[in-house]
Amino acid sequence: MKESELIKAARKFDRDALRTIFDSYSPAIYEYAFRLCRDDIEADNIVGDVFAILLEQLADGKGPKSDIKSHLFQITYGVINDRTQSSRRLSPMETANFTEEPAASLPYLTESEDELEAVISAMDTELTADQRQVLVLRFVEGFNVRETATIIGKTENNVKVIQNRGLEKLRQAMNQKFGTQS
Amino acid sequence: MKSRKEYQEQDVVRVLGRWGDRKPSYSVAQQEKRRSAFLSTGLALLGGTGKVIAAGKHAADASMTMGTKIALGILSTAILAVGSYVGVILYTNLISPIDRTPTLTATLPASNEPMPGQVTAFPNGTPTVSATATFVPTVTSISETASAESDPTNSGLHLGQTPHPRPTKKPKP
Repeated sequence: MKESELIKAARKFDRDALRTIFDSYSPAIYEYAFRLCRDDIEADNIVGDVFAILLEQLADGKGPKSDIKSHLFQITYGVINDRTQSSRRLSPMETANFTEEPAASLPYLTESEDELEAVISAMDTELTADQRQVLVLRFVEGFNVRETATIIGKTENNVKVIQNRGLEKLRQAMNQKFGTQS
Repeated sequence: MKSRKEYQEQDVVRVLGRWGDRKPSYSVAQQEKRRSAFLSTGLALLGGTGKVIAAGKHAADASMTMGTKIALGILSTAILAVGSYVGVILYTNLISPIDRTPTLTATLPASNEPMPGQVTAFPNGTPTVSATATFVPTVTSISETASAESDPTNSGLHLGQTPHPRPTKKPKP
């Protein structure tokens, strides 16, 4: 089913269309939420909120017009921002488990893991909420600049500025920990 | 011993990309629970009747059928009508009498009914004027009960003012 037909059917609350949308995009929404909140229950709650908002929008005759995934990430961005502002409760790094792959499958494991942990830690401590979200959207979830701008509701130039500042902060943090001071 | 190198932005992007390759798994149980809730809510928005909510309408409107709207309309009209009726009754019985010039009623004794302003001769020969009839100057017939209404335009009384009997002149002997 084409995406436009899927949206049309979802506006009529067609059960199959709704199921298709949920099954197609809920894992991605969960991953995005989990990377930012580091809590599986919180991430699951965010998924629930996002799809509840989607239903409200469909009932109001709003909702996605063409790109369902971007639209759902746009909702997710707002939900995460609201939750972050209302409660600054990010779970400590110890509870996050991003290394589910077997250790033997990763070459240069120790150094790679250290780098990854340092980057994730620096994202929490050094970056603003917008910088964190932009970097995740751009380099983890794989959205381009235009899509990212749509999701966070800013211009493409804004996204580029936010992205460059975030990358620079992470680069400095990594150099501080592993490399030379710049 | 680790060699110290200078990290560039590309290195950061590479690490972030590696993070993206490790996808946190969404528990099947959690996903199933969310899916059920999502589909149930979607079904509820249909109102269980298979009707599709028109674009631009809020989801809450779905539960209010046309019959409910008509019933609400009739009920509100009935409430308005009863309210108006009660208002008219209250005005008629309570408000309007206050505005009106009071009605005076005089009861004349069954015997010795004097004519208003009429001189009555008594056995002792003292002529008197019936005091009870002095303020009913327009009574034309004698009965058990005589009543007269003052003309508000000619009475000269203010609103709520009680008329006093006019002093009567004693007839000259």
